[in-house]
Amino acid sequence: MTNSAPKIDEHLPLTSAVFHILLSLADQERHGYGIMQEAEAMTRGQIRMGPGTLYGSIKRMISADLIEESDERPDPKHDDERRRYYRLTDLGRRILGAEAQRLSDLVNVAQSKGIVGSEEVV
Amino acid sequence: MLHVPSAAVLSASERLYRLLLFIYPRAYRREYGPLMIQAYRDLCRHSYRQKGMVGIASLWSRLLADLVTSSIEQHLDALREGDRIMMKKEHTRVIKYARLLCTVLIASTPFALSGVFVLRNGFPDPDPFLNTPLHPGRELFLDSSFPPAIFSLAISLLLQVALGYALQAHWSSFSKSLVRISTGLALIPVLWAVVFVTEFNLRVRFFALWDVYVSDILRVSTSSIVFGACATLLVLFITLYPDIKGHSTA
Repeated sequence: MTNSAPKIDEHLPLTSAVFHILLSLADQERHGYGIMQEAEAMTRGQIRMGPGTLYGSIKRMISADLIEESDERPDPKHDDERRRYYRLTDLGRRILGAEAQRLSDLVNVAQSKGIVGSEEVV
Repeated sequence: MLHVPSAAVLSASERLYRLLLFIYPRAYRREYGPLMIQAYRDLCRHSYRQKGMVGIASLWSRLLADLVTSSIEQHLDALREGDRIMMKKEHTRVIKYARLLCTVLIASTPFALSGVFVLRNGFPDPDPFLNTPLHPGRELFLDSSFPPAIFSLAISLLLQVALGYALQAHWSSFSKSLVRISTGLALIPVLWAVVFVTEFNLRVRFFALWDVYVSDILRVSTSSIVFGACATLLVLFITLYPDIKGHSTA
């Protein structure tokens, strides 16, 4: 694990798009539009990625081995077979965890400085 | 089910989006173009169901910014990737550009010669007492309205397009023949100067003709480089974006 630590740190901090894509894929595989919807839902409409930003990020994340394409289809009968589904890799999951921890630490710092109240942080 | 006018608008907007995808690099468009169109289609239908045409307009305001920023990023990515490849072939690249420059210069020679032949009976002998130009070539270089200049520019444009196409299409034998012929033609003024040795006003006339010749070389080469750059860009554009000829990315 000691070898992977520097590799994870190299990716941090993540861009907003990359972080939200990783977070969208944390619980299940999704296709592009599914990721967009999930990111929008998670942020209550604050993050609305366009197709260009989404697939540009996906391309870079695949080459960085953060996500990968999945061959499985949740429901092949009712889904367009041309859709591509993506899922987290082990590295992607660890990087997502590290970024979430980093942001959490920042929120703690903000709380300690009285910038945000603990009840506002969900 | 969508109403027909709305369906037409959605269909037209999808066609427009599909068209705008041409601003992305070719490789990226091939890989992700269909997926982007599919995502756009989903987004478009969702926006329309929620807010009708206002939703579509709102979506487009976001999409345009998304298109511009993400396409710039992808072009930069493509350039970085290209640089990595080209760095390995730096030597080859220098030779390629040098050869292209030489070809442009040599290919301009026939048109410089045409200027000399057109002018050889027409321009006055340099005579400072009669205010005739000592360097007619310089005046010709600056006079873009001169009919032979326009003619030679047009011909050079065609030549550069043909040359660009030949190089792009790897017609190596054709390109070599073209360069060989142009080089042969470039030797003509030398032979011509030898013939003029017997002429009475050899010295003055030779330098005046040489002046025209050199100026024409410069003029046509300059225009050829400009036109050649345009033609090369056109060829590159067609090469990078062949889909614009009618093939769809979807």
